[in-house]
Amino acid sequence: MIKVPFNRVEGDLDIRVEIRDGVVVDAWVSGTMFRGFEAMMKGRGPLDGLVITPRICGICSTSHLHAAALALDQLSGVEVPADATRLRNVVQIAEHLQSDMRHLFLMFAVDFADPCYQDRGFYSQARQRYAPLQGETAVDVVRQTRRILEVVAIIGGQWPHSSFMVPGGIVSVPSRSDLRQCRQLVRQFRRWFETRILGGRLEDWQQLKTAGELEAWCDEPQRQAAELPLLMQISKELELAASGAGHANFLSCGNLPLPADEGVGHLLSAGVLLQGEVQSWDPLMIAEEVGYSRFISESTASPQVAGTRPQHDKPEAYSWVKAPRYLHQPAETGPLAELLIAGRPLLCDWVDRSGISVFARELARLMRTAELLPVMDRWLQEVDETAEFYRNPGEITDGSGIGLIQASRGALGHWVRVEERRIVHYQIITPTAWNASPRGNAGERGPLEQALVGTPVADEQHPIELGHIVRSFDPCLVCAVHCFRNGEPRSRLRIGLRQ
Amino acid sequence: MRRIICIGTLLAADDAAGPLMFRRLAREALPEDVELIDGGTRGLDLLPLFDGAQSVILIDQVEGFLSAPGVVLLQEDELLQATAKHFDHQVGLGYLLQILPRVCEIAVPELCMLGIEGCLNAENEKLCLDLLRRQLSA
Repeated sequence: MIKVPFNRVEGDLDIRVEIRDGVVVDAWVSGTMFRGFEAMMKGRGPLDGLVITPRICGICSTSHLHAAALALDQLSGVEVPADATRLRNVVQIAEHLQSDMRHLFLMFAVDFADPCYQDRGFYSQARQRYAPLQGETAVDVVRQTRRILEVVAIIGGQWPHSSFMVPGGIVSVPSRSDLRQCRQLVRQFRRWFETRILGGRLEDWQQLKTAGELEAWCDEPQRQAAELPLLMQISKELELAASGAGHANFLSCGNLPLPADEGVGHLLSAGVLLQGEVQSWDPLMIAEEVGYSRFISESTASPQVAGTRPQHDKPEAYSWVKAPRYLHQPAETGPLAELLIAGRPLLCDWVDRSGISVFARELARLMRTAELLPVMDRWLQEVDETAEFYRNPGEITDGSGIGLIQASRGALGHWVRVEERRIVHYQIITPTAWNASPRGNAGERGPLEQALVGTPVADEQHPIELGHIVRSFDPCLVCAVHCFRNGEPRSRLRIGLRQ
Repeated sequence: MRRIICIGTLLAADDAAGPLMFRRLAREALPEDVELIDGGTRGLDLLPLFDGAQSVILIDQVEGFLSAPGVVLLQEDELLQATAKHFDHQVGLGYLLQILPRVCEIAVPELCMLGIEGCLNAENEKLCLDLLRRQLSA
C-alpha cells in the first residue's frame, strides 16, 4: 500500500487502484469512518440543527447552517425577506471564496512543488509560489482569505460558530457602517483576485467566451506574474486538461437562492446533466444506494425516509459513504457542475474542446470566484438596513422540509421531518458523498472512481497523477475529528494497488 | 489580551475534551485580560483570534504524548515540533501554528497547549485546571 498525504483538514479517504501496464484499470474509493451525525439529531428540537449541523464540518459550516435554515423555511412555509436572503447569500459567497482559493493554492497547487517535478520547466516558479508554508502565493492566500471571512463575522455577529440564519430570515441585523465595511473587504479581495490570480480586470475577464480567448489571455506578457497563466502552463506540461474525465454526469442544487424581489430560482440554476443531456430537476429523484456501503439496506432509498443504520460486516461493502444517485446514475457535483449547468460559455467551450478534466474543475473554481465577487458587492449595496430581515415562522410542530444548496464543494442537502415538536428524521447528503461515493446498487463506479480509470501512472511508488485527480474533486470526508497526534497524522489519502 | 482557545467538537467522542473544557471554564472567574473561545474545528479560520493576542493557550485532545491518560503542557517549541508533521497537505490548526509568523499582521502570540490525553474525566479536568491556573499566573 502506497501512502500519499491527504489534502483536507480532517477525515480519511482511502483510494485503491488496480494498475495494468502502467494504466489504472479499476478504482475503489472508501470513506473509512462511520459518522452517524443524523442519528444525533433524532429526538431534538426542530431548531437544534441550526447549531449542531454547522459543526459537522470545520470548513463549510456556513453551508450546513444555510441548508438547515432552508429546510426549516420550507417546513414552516415562511417567506424569507429579500434582504435576509441577500445577506445569507453574501455570507455563503464568503465561504465559497475562501474555500476555492485555499483549495486551489494550499492543497491542489502544492503538488506542483513536489520534488518529482524538479526537471520540469515550471518547478522553480511552483516551488516559489506554492511550497507549503513558504510559497508566496500560499502565504498571500492565507492573509486574503482571513480578510474575506471578516464578512461572516460582521454579518453573522459572532466568530466562530455563527448561527445567524434562522427559519424566516436572519437574526443579526447589520448597520449601515457594517455593510460599508463588508463592501470594502469585498473590493479589497476583488483587487487582489484580479491582480494576483487572474492577471486582469473582471470586466475584461467576463468578455472571454472561448477556450482560444482564454489561452490568449494567459499568453499576454503583462499577466505572467499572476497565477492563472502559470496554472495553464503547468496544466499543458502535465496534460491536466486530458486527465480525470469521469462519467460526464453533473448535478447542481442551484447556487444562491434569488431574493424574493429578484424572482424565483437561483443565481446559478439547479439542474442535472446526464451524458450531456439536460434532465428536469426534481429532488425526489435523489436516492441513496447502499449496495456497496456499510449500511443496512432500507425498503426505500429516498433521503426523505431512509435512515442511516451501520452494518460494518456487510459482504461486498467497502465504504462508510453511501452512494447518492440521481435517476439511479452517479453524478459529479461542484463548481464545474454548477457552471456547466448554468451554461457559462467559456467553460462550456473549454469542455466541448478538451473534455472534462482536472484542469476544467480548477478553472471552474476560478470562474466561480470571478462570477460571485461582483454579485456579492451588488447584494451588499442593495441591502437596506432598515428593511425587514426576519418573519416569525411560528412554532415548528410538525412537517417535513428539504434544504438544498450548493456548498463550496457541491450539492448539499438536509432532509428533516418533525413530529410533535421533535426531529424524527434527519438526513444529510454532502458533496463528497456524491463525488467520492462507492459503487451503486448496479455496480457502476462512483464519479471519482470513474475519473481515475484510464490514468497512466509513471511511478507506482509515487502516483502523483492520481493525487491531482482526487484533489480536483476537493474531497472532504468524515468531518470533525482532528485530534492532535504525536507522530504520523491520521488523515491520509492512501493510494495503492488492490491486493 | 490573552486567549484560551478550546479546540475540538462535541460530535466526536475522541475530540470532545476541548469543548467540554470550554463549558467547564465558562463557569470559572478568569482574569479580566483573558478571553475564553470555543474554537471548534475551524483550523485556519482561527487566525484572527491569534493575531495580536499577547498569548494563546490551546486546549485540545491529544494522542500519543503520554503513556496513560493525563494532561500534558506543550510549550511553544514542543507544540511547533509536534505540529510540523501535520502541514503537508492539511490546512488545519497545525498548518496555522506553523504559518503564524508569516501571516500575523499585528503581533505573533506566545503559544502553548494543554493536551488532554484520553477523555475529560474528573481527574483530567482537575489537572487541566491546575495547569491552566499556573500558566495564567506565570
